[in-house]
Amino acid sequence: MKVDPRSKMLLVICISGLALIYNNPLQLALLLAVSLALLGAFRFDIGMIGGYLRPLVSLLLILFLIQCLFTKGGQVWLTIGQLELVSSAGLIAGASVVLRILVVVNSAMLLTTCSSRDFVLGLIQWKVPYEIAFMVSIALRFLPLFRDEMQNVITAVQLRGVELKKVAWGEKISMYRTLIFPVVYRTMLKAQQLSIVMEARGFRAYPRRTYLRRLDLYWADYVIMSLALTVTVILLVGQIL
Amino acid sequence: MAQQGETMGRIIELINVSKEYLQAGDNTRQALADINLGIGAGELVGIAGMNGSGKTTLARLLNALLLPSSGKVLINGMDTTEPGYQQEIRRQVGMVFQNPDNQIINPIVDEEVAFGAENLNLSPAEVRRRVNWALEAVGLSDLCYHAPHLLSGGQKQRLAVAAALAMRPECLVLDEPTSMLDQPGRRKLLKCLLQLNREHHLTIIMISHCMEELAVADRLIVLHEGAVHMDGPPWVVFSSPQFTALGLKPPPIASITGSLVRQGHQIDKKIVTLEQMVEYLCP
Amino acid sequence: MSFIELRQVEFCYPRQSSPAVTDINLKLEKKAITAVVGPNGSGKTTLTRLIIGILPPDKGEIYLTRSPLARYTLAEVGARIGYIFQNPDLQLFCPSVAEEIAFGLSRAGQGPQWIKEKVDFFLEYFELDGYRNSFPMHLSQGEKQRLAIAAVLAHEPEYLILDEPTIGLDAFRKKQLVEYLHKVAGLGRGMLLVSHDMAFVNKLAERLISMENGRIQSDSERRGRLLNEG
Repeated sequence: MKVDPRSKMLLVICISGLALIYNNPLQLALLLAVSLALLGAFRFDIGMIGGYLRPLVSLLLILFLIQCLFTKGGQVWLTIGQLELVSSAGLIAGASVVLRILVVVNSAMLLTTCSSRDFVLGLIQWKVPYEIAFMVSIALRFLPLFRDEMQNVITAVQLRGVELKKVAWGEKISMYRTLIFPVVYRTMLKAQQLSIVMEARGFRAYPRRTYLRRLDLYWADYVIMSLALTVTVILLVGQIL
Repeated sequence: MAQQGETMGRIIELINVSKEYLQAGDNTRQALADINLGIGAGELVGIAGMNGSGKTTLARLLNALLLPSSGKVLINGMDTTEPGYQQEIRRQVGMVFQNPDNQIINPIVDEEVAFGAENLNLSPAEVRRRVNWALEAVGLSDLCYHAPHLLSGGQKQRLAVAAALAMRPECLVLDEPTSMLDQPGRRKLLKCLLQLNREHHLTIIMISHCMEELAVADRLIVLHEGAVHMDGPPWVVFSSPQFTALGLKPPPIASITGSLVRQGHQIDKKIVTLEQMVEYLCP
Repeated sequence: MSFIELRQVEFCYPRQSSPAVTDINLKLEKKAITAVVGPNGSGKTTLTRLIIGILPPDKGEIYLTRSPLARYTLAEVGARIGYIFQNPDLQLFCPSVAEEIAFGLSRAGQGPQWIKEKVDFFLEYFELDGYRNSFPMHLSQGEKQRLAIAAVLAHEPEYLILDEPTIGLDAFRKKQLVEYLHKVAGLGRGMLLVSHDMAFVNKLAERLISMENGRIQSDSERRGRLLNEG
């Protein structure tokens, strides 16, 4: 079953929208479950989620702690002397923040299940200007290149005999700072070469361009989109009332 | 040296073209100095020269990717420095670059080929027709729906040729298209280019380090330090002592022919490729 | 025992149906110049990546001077085997040529004078003197390659692996490269050359291994080196 990227985009918007409105960890957890289920339904490799989330773990932990410590209310769980540290309201707030971010990130991953060209076409058929849609797809294409370059540089540094694990933190940070430069430079170089090719092939030569393919909405898309919209509206209204 | 292509219609003309680059410390580097060149329709031209001789600069001047510091570059009479002509010039002069990976824009082969034609705002039916024709011309028709980044280097380069063909250029400029390919990839690409030149009368300008590839050209231009030093049929260029003096090595067959001729043997001195030699020895 | 040994090594890239290399049994000696030739896709580059430890084998074992390769960290392997990537850009990351050669040398704890002498030596040896303060990315392909070789050699590895070093070089510079590599061999180092350029390989290699479809097809020794042609 081929689902139009526009349906997926609508799903992402609905789920993210609800996530921003909900404050209850239980509701957010349910939303997370829904987004994971959708990822599975669209045949996203669940194993990859770990890869995406790992860099976020420390950030999430910090956010959780901040929310937890600075939100007071309800039953107190932990005190040090006179200071109330952890309260139930704090725990709830912390959990909500973390879950919210997780929901938004997961639902965004839905977009990676469509090919970049479909994504661009979807945006265009929703009247987004071609240049912007194209920029988005190229950016998506370059992110893994960026990551690859970073990996290459790290490998090269190690092959010069520098044991990264044994480098002191201070030195490590300054080393990464210097290393980011060749990564950015090389990625920029690739981008420049690509832009030369695009120019040579007449990119933006004329004010209008044709598209070889059209995306058509099928019944599955209409069903998904109307279901998503209806459910979202109902939940929103329910939340407000 | 004689400028060929005068009897045929000239589609590319360089008149007193020079190109300088600014470098760090207010230095300028002279990439090309006072080049005068004409290329006729349907010619298969090879460009050779050591690294830094100005070949890539010359190629980029031909489709207005670079503009000359002085002099004029005319494509079918259109001056590359006129902004109004640039789109048409880019359509007429297709370019293929060295690195197969950095030329892929779209995630599907037919979309990749269609990109240029789509940019010209042709009807979808016409775009589809051109895509089919271009893929057929390079022999990639059955890979129509494949992902470009999974193709071999040689296939990617042929895809780049097809993508340029979809704009129906009059001329194709290739900047060291084979240097990152292995033997089979090279052979297929060259066969494809030769076919395009002989059957479809596409003017082809190819820069290469590999003299065997350039041996099949109608005309070989040798650049050195930004100037044209030699310009003539490959067999003339290869057999001249000036060629080796410029730091280049003729292909083995040409060397053999040259030696045989010098030793007084009766052999056609135009033989520069293996096929020609085989045909001569075993007709 | 050989410097590098591979036993029954097999490797398959993720999401590929057939292995990139299979059934590899190989012994490489420290002081010899060995060449691996074969068409694109034959597994040559994969083989070098397995030897240096960037890729872990799916099956089989790899040994570096008696110890399993898996026991070494990438940095430890890098200290013993210098690897020159097919694309020298991948291993140049310092703001200037001199710093590139000097990178990591401070770890030897020999002091700045020693480092300076080393850098000077290699700059001269590889004719990069004029580029001492240049940005490595601005160098030509051949110059970048020499820089990569210099930067790797500065760490005095026992062995070198070069992956397709002739790509993008014209005939003159290929000849130059042959000369430089002879010089390097003259410094007492063996190397593994991967190339699809037979003419280049024939000028250097004492042993020729050919690969196809991920397998070693032939492995032959050459008595003495070929005489240099002009």
